[in-house]
Amino acid sequence: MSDFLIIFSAVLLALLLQPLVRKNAGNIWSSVSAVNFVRRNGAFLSLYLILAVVAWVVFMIILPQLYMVDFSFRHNLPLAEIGGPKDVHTVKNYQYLIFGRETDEEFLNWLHLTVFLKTMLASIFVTLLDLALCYPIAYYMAQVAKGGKARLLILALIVPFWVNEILRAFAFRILFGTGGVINSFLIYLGIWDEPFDFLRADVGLYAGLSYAYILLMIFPIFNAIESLDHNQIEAARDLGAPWWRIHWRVVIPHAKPGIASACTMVFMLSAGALAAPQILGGPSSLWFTQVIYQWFNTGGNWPQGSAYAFVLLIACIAFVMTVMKIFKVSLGEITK
Amino acid sequence: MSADVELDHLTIRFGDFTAVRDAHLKINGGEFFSFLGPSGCGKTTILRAISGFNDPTEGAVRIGGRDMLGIGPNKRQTALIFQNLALFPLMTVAENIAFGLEVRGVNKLNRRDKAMQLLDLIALKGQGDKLVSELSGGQRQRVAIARALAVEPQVLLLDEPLSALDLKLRQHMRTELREIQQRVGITFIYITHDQGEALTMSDRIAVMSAGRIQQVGDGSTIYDHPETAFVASFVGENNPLQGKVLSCDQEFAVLDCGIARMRARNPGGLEAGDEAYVFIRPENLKLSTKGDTAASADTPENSFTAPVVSEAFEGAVRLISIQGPSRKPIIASIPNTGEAQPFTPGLLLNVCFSADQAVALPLGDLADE
Repeated sequence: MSDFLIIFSAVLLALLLQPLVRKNAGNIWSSVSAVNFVRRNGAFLSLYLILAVVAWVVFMIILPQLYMVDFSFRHNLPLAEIGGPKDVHTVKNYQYLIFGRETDEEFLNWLHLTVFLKTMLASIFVTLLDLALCYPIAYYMAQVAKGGKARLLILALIVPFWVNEILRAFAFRILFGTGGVINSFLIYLGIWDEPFDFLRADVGLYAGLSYAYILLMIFPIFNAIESLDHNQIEAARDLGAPWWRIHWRVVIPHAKPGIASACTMVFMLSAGALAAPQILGGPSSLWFTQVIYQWFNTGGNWPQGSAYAFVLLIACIAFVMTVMKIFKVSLGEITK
Repeated sequence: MSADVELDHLTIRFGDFTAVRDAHLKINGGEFFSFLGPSGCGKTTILRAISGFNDPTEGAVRIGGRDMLGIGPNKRQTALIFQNLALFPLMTVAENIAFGLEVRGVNKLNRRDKAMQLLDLIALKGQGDKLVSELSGGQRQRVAIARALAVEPQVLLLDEPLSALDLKLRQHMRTELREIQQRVGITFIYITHDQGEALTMSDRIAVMSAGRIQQVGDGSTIYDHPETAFVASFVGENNPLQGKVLSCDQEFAVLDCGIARMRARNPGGLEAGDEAYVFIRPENLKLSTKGDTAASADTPENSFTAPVVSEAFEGAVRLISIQGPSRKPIIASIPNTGEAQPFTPGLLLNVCFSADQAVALPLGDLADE
């Protein structure tokens, strides 16, 4: 193991542990609650819970990810040379995403950067589209529909998701294809004569992605709006507010944490989606995850792939944090 | 500016359930009018019909002579104060108060001015930038009133706004509400199940039960001259004694109530042979021990002898339960003079009352205890 890795992981570990350490220092309450935790659950159960959680977090989450981080800073070497003199750390994998090969004519690696930006923008678009579609549904379920009707609606939303992702994606192909249901119907109606290629225009992709995450958008918002006292809506109405202002001034501010957590999830998942872009994406469209997949799979270049994957991850986190800062939502709020 | 409110044979049904039956009355402009009744009697439904959240199934609601059908709550000249106040927790006190003005497109500066003015009125000067959660119960109450008054409504509707407050504060807010009403001079329509609130604040009261308006009148009329068995038993304490009417003259009826013959006022036009209740208030019963001749009835009928069941001490008054004709005892209250003279259970008492202070009314639902 080289010095670089030791320093790197030490810094990373310090960064990860720093908030915990800071919280515990002088915080007697937490140690008391730890004792309470043991007292409540018994020694054996407490030990099991702590070990299980620690093992889960360390072995299933932190270590593999750290390994991938390390990987992304290495050369793609044949098996024989791993651990040899050539096996040193490098930033060339990250460099490649931005500048491409040194022999390239262009200064920047426009091909991949474009795909990256397009993925981010398209994910934002999918998130906003989902928000626009789901907010009214969530509001209706939470404040308007009464008992049985709301339950029926929830069931109608959940049951279609028993169909697996691949099947659903291919069903969307049938729906949006040139010989698909929508085209046939529109031609039958005489709206147009030539079939329109929805898949080439990425309509199928956006529709598929939006639909895939509809539940993740609806339920956090539904929960948030449901906790709003209906009298507040009526009070605003009684004071003369039209419907849009009631939403703008009363419902949305109340539901903001729910909206933030829903949008975060949908954005992260659509940026990281693979199956839907693979199946529904038009020939010209390339999702960034597909590039990553190619590096790992066909390219056989794991270090390059993990570098790309981490760039996507960090860009997504940074974007989400920035947006949350702008809308003044804290991370603690969205877990409520 | 105040407006009168007219309920024209208003009936409101929810599916099979009739919440309000044929309510027909007129509330005058500038009046403090209360709807009094137990929970579930339909009083809140009436209030919501006036504010526009419920539509009449039959009949009409008219405000200032204008039929309100099809006019939404946001377009009516009414402001509603909710039972739980429904202040906006994410807005400051001033923003809450000025919300109605913001909606009406009043600019920020004028909104601020008006909010300041109202904060002054409710004695919360300089607290406009606080959050609602930082205020006490009574202060929130006043903010809710200010928020409603800010839009200068012609009718202010109040849905049991004091029920969440503790006793002392509630009594204080009664006088305060009455003062505010007299100062702004608009129509107040007040919903309550608390007869003390209704009696102390209102110009007139409508007593409701099971969706029906039982009686409309000022406080003393409702208390002294109830028209139905429900009103007699709901407003104040009352002892109902069931009996059969034996005879009646112009004003009075004589009933056979089992333990005695009783003579009572007959405002409802009972006739001989009718089953009816005689109501006597606890404070109108005179008690004397056997052999003591200090108290006697003005007529031979209204007097009987019965044993004491128990006694309860209430501070200002002592409540004595006396064995009556039914399982439920007759309650008498006597002022506590400090000279303790215990009414031990089993002690035989002469009980009598004046016929003027008793009222005979047709059978009907009584208020639940």
